[in-house]
This record gives sequence, C-alpha cells and structure tokens, in this order.
Amino acid sequence: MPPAPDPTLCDTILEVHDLSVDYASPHGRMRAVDRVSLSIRRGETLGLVGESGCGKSTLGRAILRLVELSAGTIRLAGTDVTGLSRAALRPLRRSAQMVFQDPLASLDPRWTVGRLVAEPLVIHGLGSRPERQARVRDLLDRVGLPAEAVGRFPHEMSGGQRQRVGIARALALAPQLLILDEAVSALDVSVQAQVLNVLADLQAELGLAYLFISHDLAVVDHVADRVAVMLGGRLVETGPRARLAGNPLHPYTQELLGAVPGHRDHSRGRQEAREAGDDEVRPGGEGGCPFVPRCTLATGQCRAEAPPLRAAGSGSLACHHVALAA
Amino acid sequence: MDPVLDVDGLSVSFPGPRGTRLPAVEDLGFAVRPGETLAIVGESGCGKSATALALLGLLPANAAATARRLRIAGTELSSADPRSSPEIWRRQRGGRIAMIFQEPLTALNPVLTIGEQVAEAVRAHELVSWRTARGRALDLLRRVRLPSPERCLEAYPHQLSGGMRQRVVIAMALACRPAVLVADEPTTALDVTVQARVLDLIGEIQRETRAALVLITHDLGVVADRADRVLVMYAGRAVETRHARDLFAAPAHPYTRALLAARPRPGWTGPRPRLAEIPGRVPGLAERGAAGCRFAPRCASVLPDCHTLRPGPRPVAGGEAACHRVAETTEPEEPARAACA
Repeated sequence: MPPAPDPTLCDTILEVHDLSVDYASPHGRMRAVDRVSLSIRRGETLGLVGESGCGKSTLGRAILRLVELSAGTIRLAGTDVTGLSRAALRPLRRSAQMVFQDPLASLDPRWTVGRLVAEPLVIHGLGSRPERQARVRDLLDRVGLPAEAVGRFPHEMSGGQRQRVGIARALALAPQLLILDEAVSALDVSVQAQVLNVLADLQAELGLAYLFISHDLAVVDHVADRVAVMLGGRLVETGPRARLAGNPLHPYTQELLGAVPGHRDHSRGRQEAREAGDDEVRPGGEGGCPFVPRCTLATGQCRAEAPPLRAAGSGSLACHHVALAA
Repeated sequence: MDPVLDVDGLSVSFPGPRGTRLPAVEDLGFAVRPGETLAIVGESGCGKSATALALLGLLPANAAATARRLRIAGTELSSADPRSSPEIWRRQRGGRIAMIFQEPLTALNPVLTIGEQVAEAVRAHELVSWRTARGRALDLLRRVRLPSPERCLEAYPHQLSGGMRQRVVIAMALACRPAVLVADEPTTALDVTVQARVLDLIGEIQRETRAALVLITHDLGVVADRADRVLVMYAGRAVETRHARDLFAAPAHPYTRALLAARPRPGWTGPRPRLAEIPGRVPGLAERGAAGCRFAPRCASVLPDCHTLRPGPRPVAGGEAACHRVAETTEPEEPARAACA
C-alpha cells in the first residue's frame, strides 16, 4: 500500500530555483521558461496564470521532469531531483502527480476505470491484487464516484466523471503534490463546481499541495492561496490571492484582470476596439521585459533590460516602473 | 422596432433507435431587434448550438428542424426546408444572416490565403470581379482592425495568431452586410485579453451596422458584459428569457439560480466558500420525457406538479420564465446575491 506521508518531511513540498527550459525551433533555441523560482508548502495551492504560450504548462511538466531542463534546480519533498536518472526518479514520482485538461485524451479508452486507477499501483508494484482493489474503491469514493464505476469505460462517462477518474488515478500513489494543468477548464460551470469542491475536500483531508495552472482567473481566484502570473516564460508578479485580485500591480496583471468577463461596466460601447496583434509578447531571448509590446509604461530601459523579479513582503514583482510595498 | 429575427416554435430532433426522434431543441421562441444582442446560454447538451445551426439551415442531414415561424429580415422561412430549397437558404446565409464560428482554424481553409477566402465570401453573394472582391476584402480586414491588412491578404491562416484568425472569420461573416449575426462561442478558444478585444470589435460593428447579434455562449461573465437580453436553455428547452439586468439581479428559474450560484465569486474573504453544486446531471437526448419540467429531478424547490405538468412561460420582471414556482421565486430574491456577475 502507498505509505502514509512521512511526518518528518519539511513543510515545503516543492522548491523550484531559477528553472529554465529551452525548446529547439527552426529559428534556433526558444526559451519557454526563463529562470523561474517558486515554492509550495504542504496543504497550499499556488495558482499559476498566464495566456496561451506563456510557458505555464511547460513549467508544470518540467517540475515533474517530463521535459528536459536547461538550468535550475527542483527540490521535491526535500530531495533534489534535478540530476536524477529516470530510474532514480521513479520513487519520487510517487510524491508528485499530474492531472491534465482533457481526461479523454489522457485515459486509455480500452481500459476500465478500475484498471486505469489501479495502473499506477501496478507500475510501482504496490499491494496485492485484493489490496489494490480495495484502494481503487477507496479512491473512487474519495473523488465522489460510485463503486460501480470500476467496470465502466471512459467514453461511457460524462466529462466531469472522467476528470474525477483522472484525479483518482493521480491520487493512487498518495502524492503530496498535484499539478493540475487546466484540469477544470473544459467542464461546464455546474460540473466545474463539483470537481473544485472535490479538490478542496481532498486538500483538507490529505494535506495535498496543488500547483493549479489555469488561464481562468475567476477559478484561480477561488482555489488559490497564492497566485503567480507568468508572461513570456517569466514570472512577472506573485502574491497572496486577495492582494493580486484586489490590487494588481504589474501592468500585465492589471490587463489580465481587467479582461475577465463579468467585471466590465454594463453600459457598453465606450471602449474603442483596438487592433489585433495585441497578443504580442517580446520573445525570451531578446532581453527586455516580455510585456514591452503592449505596455503603456514601456521605456528604453524596459526594452534594454528585463526587470528582475524583486521580492517584497509576501510577494514579488518584476517591473521597472512599479514597486511592491514591503 | 420590428424584430429582424423572429422565431417561434423551433424544434430540432435527431434520429434515435427504432425510428424514434430524439429532441435536441423543443418549442423555442425568441425575437431579436436590429442592434440588439440576445445571448443564448446553457451547458453542454442544452441545444444552443443546434439552435444556431437551425437558424442558418446548417444542421446535419439527419437532423429535422421545424418551426411555426422563422422570419429573418422580413423573409418567412419556416416552410423552407434547407434540403428542398437550398437556393433560398443560401441567399439568406451571408446575405441576411451570417455565422461567426468558434474555432477559426477549422472555419478557415489552410491552403488558401486570407485574401482569397475573404474575396470568395464576397463573391459568393455578389456578382463582382475578383479584383473588386479583393478590394472589398481589404476593406473588411481594415474594418476588423487587423494590423497591416495588405500583408494579411497574402498570409495563410497558420501565420496569424488566434485572435487575428478570429478577426478574419468575423470579416468573412460581414462580407455581405448581414442583418443578423450568429456567433457560436466566438471567443471560447481565445485568451481573456484577446477575447475582450474581439467582443469589443463585434460590439462596435454591431453599433455601426445595426446588426442583431445572437451570441451563443456558456460563459455567464460574457453574457453579463455583452447581452441586452438572455435566453437560458436547459435540456433543449427555454427555461428563462429576460433582460440581462433583470436576470442577473433576480434570476427567476431555479436552474438559472443554481447556475449563477455554481460560479466562483470574486472578492471573497475569510474561509474559502464552497461552490454550490447542482445535484445529478443533465438528461441525455434519449432520457428526455415530454411530461413535466426537465429540471425537476435536480430542482431544489420542486413541486408535485413539476414531474407531470410541463410549465409554460410565465411573465416575470423583464421577461418570462417556465417554472411552476415562478410567482413565489422572483420576489424574495435580494439583488445583492446575483449582482456579482
């Protein structure tokens, strides 16, 4: 059976320091993640937000060593996993697991739910067959699926049920950290509410830490304790959720929050529609702040040098023009 | 002002086992005036996309659509089956009613340049030369505020960003100055900042052309920002049709209330609030009985009648709602509860 969490473990589950990831492209190397540092404590949810292409999914995958790192270190549950070989990584995979956006794409359609949820236990050689069956029943119960679900196939289930299967599977090895990559983005509002409640219950019961990656700021504002905002491969602002939602400081965070639907002035028709090309970002390799093409505050300094992420108080900010109060 | 789109008794069904018909849309009615935005909102399987396709005569061949009245810009189409009179429908599409599709990458042809595709849309409805059509295409690309529109004419879809592609799709929908625009989840695939700008653009075009907009979406935030009126669908039927302000201030139907309550709310303090769930799930096409209210099995304020009698539309502030409880449910609602759209 998966062991209970080791009580001697330190409070910090994940510590990422100066992590960079490069992808090869026809135009040379492209920096997808650029010197990102973050940490997550036991029982805590860090929300990671940003637009498509900002590197948030790559960062999530890099933390699990699913993509090659170019630089930086990752400490998972107190162990430096940066240089570990695949074989040496295996036991550590038990402490951190991933849940993906599209459960249908990440679940083998020919397998029953019982087999899908038991697979991680089989791979890691945990428990006898009856023990595994009992564990699967327990996991299905935890995510709010009926015991009969064991014999069903993914295509026989609704999107919300499939996502619960994905979560049960990720929980099979009793991880301490779940990386949730757009895990509720494809779900209808009412189903999303059910899955978010399940995640909250699991966190309260098991003390799980979540890295909650999403483009949906309303959802992140609901689930996260702290929020990190990513743009062009870098973190541009981090802080407690209430501060970020109430008083965003980076011009990009302000733009992002201002665009959340449902927060606009109801008397429509005042804003001028702007040109497209407005999703432009300065590529990582070029230096300077990634937000330069869209920023109203941008100066020569912003084009010449990337502002460092400066920590102050309970957050951090990377901007030449705005400072975070300590 | 007379509605430019007037629909009554619209039903869409798909073939089921043993010669049965499965109802995707049932007895739907609504009207939209020039310049007005009607949002059709609901969760997967509620019939909102089937409604959009029926308006354009674009349903798949195995679907059957009927209507007591379907009038688009003065032309009565309820008797016109798209299959028996394709020419009438083709003139409607693009000329009087046009669709903005969800996924611009699928809506655009990957091997034709943007210029060729937009010019083709112009030529589909007007007898003009390619040269004239190309000039019109350039105007349209300017109109949707694409940067360097001359360069975009020569570009292929994959060379543009998602937001730019959606602007091209909008340009094509505008090619023949439609009186009614139907937008099916037009910004679902886009980032929020780009989404806001594309919706601003659609609003701006609407103000200029006085086109009526049917905005199909699952996003209640978008509805709160953009819609004048809202039609909420559940399992193929309209449950509530209201002015947007009235709907968000005091939702009348228990389904609408549950839907609004299930959304995360901004600005919470103290311990993290639990999201309100709706027990059960949406009935599949084959599980939809004709009797009673479709929402009854999941409804928190269900009455015995709800299982046997189908509730008809009843007047409420700013519209109507199909609920047996409606007289009781609208009044005690305090506005503050739903104002956080």
